[in-house]
Amino acid sequence: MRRLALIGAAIALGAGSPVSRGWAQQPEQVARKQVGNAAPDVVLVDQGGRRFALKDLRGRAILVAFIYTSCHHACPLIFDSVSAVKGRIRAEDRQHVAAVFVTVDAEIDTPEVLRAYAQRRGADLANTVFLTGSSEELRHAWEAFGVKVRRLGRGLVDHSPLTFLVDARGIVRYRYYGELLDTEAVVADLRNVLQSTARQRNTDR
Amino acid sequence: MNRSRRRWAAACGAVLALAGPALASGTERVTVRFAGEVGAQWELTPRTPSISVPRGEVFETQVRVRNHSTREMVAMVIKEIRPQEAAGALVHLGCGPTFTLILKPGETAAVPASYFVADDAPLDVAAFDIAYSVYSFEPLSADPLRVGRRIYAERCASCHGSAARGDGTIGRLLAGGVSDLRRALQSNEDRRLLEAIASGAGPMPAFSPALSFDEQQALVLYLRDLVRSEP
Repeated sequence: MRRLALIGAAIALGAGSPVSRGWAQQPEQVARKQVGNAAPDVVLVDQGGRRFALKDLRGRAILVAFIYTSCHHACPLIFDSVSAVKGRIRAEDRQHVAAVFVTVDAEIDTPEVLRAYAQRRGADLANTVFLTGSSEELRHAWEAFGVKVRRLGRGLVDHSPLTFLVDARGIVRYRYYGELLDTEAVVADLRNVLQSTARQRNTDR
Repeated sequence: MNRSRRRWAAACGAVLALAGPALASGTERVTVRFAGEVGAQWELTPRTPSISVPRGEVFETQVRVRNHSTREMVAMVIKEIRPQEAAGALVHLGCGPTFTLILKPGETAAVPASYFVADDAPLDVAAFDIAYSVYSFEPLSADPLRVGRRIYAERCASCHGSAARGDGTIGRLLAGGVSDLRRALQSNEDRRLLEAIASGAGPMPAFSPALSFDEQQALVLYLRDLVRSEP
């Protein structure tokens, strides 16, 4: 009986998942939207326990994603996707790109927990920031980006799988749905953003 | 602004200045029907039997779970979307297809969920069905084997698979995949397994902040039992 029940659970876990429902086959069509609004003015705490404002990264293109460290579902895939995009950027452009991971679990994800996560996932902290904060600060950040968050239990959080590309001037250029980013499309968007920033720099000189 | 959009806006505040316009681009309306089920000890009821929504517009629904038994119960609820071939076009704005609730005798809990129908959903699909069902409804038990089983289904099976073979839905998509846990169970003593559960490994979360030591031990106990029953 136990065996049958578990097989049922596994099928259910797979059958209902957006990943297994063809999401991966059509990410370009479903998951990518142009935006064009100013990024919210979010001030949180980084993995080192320091206050960190999103606008501190002005001048860089940033990928902002929402994850939590106890997540066994979408977040590991989101982290892999963002890392894959960063890995596709030319070495000389990497200083102009950063990844920001905002936690959706204020209860567990302290700066210490985020530091351990960064180390376990091999994140390069020269261009990657993990952010946490008080429940109120985080709620403001989630709402400002349109991320719905619902606590289901300790270390179990339901949240919108959203990732944003913000340009060097702090404008949200694209929003991507889903845990599996279309790496090609995001890399192309990121390169376009970097090129337009470089052109702007040359014009300003 | 219709009713479902207002609800979303209320929930998300200023967000929808950002998220709203890009979502509300469809014109064709789609019907989404909801179904629950009634068991001897539970009742699973969607708030509304059906809703008509424009493509691309986020809508929120709710399912209520009631415990009719005289004991504190653990309910795991799953959902299925039909037609299956178009199910990818009905997007759940959330993380995970299942949820688990602990309900006191007679208690009812309402669980909200947000969805939208993709702008490019097949035009010949005029209606989707979301069927919620109870996968398990068991007394909240201190029996470590049952505790371990619940934790494994909740937090581990998505990557490691139902029989710990490393073939879970998410595991198959992770960079590098997930190895067969049965080999690790055969070649490692409990202490090593507990260390991995507590501290995580690569994409696997560190569970010590989320699970008590007793729960971690229950998980190892269940894994040993699982491998014995499904070698």
